[in-house]
Amino acid sequence: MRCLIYAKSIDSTWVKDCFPEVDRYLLKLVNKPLLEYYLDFAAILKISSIRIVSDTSIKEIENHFKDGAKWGLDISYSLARPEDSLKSVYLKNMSFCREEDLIILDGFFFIDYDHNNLISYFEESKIISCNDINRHLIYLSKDTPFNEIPQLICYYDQSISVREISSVLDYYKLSMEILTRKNKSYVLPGYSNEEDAFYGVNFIFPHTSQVTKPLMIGNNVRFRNNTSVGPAAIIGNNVIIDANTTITESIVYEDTYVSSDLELSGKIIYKNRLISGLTGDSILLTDNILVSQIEMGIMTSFFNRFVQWMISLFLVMVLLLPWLILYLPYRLLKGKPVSDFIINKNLAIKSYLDPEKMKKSSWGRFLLHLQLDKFGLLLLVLSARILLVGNQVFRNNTRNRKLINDLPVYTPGVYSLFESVDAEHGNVEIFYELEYINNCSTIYNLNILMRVIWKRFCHGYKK
Amino acid sequence: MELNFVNQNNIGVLHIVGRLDAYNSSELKSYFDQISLETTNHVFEMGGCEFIDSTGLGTIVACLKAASQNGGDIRLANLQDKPRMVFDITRAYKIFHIFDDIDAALMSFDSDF
Repeated sequence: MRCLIYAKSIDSTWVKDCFPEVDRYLLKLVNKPLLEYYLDFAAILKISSIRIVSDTSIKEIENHFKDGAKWGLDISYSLARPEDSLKSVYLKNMSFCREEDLIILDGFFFIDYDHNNLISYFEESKIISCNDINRHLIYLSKDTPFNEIPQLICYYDQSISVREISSVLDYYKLSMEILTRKNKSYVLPGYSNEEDAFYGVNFIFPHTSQVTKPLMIGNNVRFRNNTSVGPAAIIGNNVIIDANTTITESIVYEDTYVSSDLELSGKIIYKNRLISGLTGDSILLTDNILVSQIEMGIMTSFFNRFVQWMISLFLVMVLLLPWLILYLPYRLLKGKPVSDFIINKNLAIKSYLDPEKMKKSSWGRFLLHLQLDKFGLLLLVLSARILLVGNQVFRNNTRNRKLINDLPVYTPGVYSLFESVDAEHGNVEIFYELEYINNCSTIYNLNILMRVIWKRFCHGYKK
Repeated sequence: MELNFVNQNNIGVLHIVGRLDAYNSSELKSYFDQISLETTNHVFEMGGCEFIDSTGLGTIVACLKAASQNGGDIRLANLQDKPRMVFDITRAYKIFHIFDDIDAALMSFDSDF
């Protein structure tokens, strides 16, 4: 059996209003994109070949699902015109559709089923049928001629039903329902070693914080002191909840900062947008104080770059002579202790002096005291390829590439917050990067710069 | 933002119309300082206020503080759904008396609960 998913945009215009940057079919329901629910459903029916057809750009969907190998599926993609009917889409994809029996998932909706029941249903070879008056879910046997599509079968049964998500109110209600009552019916993201609680990786919360089930926490989430989260809270990836804030029956979408001393109940927070889950009212907060997108606007500001460039020029002039006198002989005797580092979000790589290798000899450690390992990177600042102070410049390896992908923005700098604190490498790194992104300002950068220079000069390289 | 003041039996009724945000909230504070010379108790009629941000909210709190120092109070009337969300999440509803309509807000000064 095969599956054709027609990801048409007409059913879901509200998504654009409430979640402007999110592709509607990648809209996360309980931290999982809607299309992934479709794929789970297809996988349960032992479908292995899926064609996703979109009437808008399909690039984001394709980037997310790629060839489907991660889900054990073979996914192909195709485009349609916005005015194309399902019949046109079927005809345009005829060679795919006519090979085997076909399930068609037509449009923006939610398939309400119980994962476990559906598997047993399928194993017992019962007819999969559903309550679907809008005919989003269609079964078409191999021999059915295409011109019969409008009259396709939709049986009434309790095993599956189709839910419309026609407004943000439906979205909120459905999310809460999945989390609180149906979290066992679907495969939800996160680790769950206790009932009704799902935790992502890199979740840090102080002992003064309190979490109450049911709840879902995404990856790279940080709670500050005295936060209280749950019951019925869905926290997305890359979220910071500041001190003394209480969140109940709410959804905090990914890449969002929630300020201190707030009380969120029955709300959806998407970056700096506040939406009532009970009335659908939405306001865009313009001052980035109460809630905001985690972003690095300051990093790209002209003033900040100019200040950083001037300081870099000064440091290059100061370090030039020691570099010529001390580093060049070191290089002749000891070789060039370099490693590959990632210098932007597109994962471009450059080779630079690796302090981990240099610290193995006493001469190398002396050079690290003088920060001569940073000389090459400072020249990159002068050519505006990285910043003086920014995110940590990570070594090129699989773990770090994933970590950079997880960050909402990545603008590396010669000096970083992580280097200015006494922290070990490991899972905590991402929190320093998120904290930096959240707090970044010219003064903050200068503070980091002074701390790292002083720390290096007094104590040398310690990581 | 538009501000209209009416003195109703020694209670100052201030109609706030439009957006109350970082760009114009200082205007509200200066206006309030002027009308405070005439009345001590006030009702902010918010029916026409479609948006308020944290600076706007901070200004209303500053007005409340100033009114309290003069022995008066500020009560809010007809708060619309969108600005109400800001009052909800910041817990500001705990420090203001918020009424559905202006008459109830005016009457509340008589009953002085």
